Amino acid sequence: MLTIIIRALVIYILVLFVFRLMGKRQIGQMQPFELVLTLIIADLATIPMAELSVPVLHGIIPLLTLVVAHYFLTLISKHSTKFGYFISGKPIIVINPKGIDEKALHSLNITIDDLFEAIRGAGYFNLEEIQYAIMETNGTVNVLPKSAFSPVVNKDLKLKVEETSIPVTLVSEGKLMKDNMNLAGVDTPFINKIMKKAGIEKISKILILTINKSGTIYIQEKNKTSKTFENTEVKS
Amino acid sequence: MSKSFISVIIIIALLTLACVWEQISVEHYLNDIYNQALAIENYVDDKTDVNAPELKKMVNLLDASWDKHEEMLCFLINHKDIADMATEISRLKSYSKTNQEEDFKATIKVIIHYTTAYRHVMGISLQNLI
Repeated sequence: MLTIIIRALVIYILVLFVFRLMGKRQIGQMQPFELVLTLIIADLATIPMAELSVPVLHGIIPLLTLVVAHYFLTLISKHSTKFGYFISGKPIIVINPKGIDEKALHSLNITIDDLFEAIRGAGYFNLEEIQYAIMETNGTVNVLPKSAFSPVVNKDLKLKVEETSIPVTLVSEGKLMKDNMNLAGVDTPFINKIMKKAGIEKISKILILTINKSGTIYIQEKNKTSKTFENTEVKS
Repeated sequence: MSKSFISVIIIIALLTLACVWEQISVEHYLNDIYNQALAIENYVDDKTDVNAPELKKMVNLLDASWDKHEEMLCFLINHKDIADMATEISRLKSYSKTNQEEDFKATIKVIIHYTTAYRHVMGISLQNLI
């Protein structure tokens, strides 16, 4: 039994490493060959994990071989568009200003119902709203609406709005995020000042503390409600 | 150079090392067993007494060689196959002890067959690739 536990841990660490090396794509974003690779890896990993008569190397070697193959396949795809199209296919326009492209649907082997499902998933329920719909290589459909149905943006209204920024987490579950503090240009006395303002005694009691570029602070004590402070001075 | 490129280069180096090590060690270990088994087969070919002291010594040497190589072969060969070989060698010792000539000769042939078969399975050949 102990052997199985150790083998499982070894394979688990290896599979983690393999997936980290493959990148951070989610299943829905995978190219067909990446999905196939994921399925093969899952299958390969289980054999030496559960079957004690199979040497662990018989699982490790093919896993690593697939990683290398995947790396070079991706590398060649990046450098050669033709090869990339051969491996992953290319995006196909399924709806154009003239309407639905039946030939494209036929070549993609999808039905009108599948197309409707996909465009509904993209947030469009009426075909007349769509200028173009493109079936991407990973199977998702992206829609370009007709100008009349495009959402209004600040630019259309000629509104001057402040650029938004990503809030930086300074404290998470009672732990100071030193790298983020450097990024935001704040120090521990600054955190203490905010804590005092929010009525929190210890850093360990903070659930979350974030700050954005404009100096807005969001702080929440564990098991308490959140507080927001506007326009706090932040060193740039 | 990116981290992933370096990782891939390291993996390729490890895979190459593993392949070379496998080819050399399996060939060496199995060849050793094969030669010893062949020597036993030649020795008993025209003999009826399989309990001779010299033959016993040869069988014990074969058993010791197998024990020595078994651990390393466990990394490369299916453990069931390794267990089969160990079983046959144990049988060989037993047949020698009880002087069962026919069974002894049959078992040594099986051992020779196993070593040849393992070498075929582990080696690079068109048959293995297809």
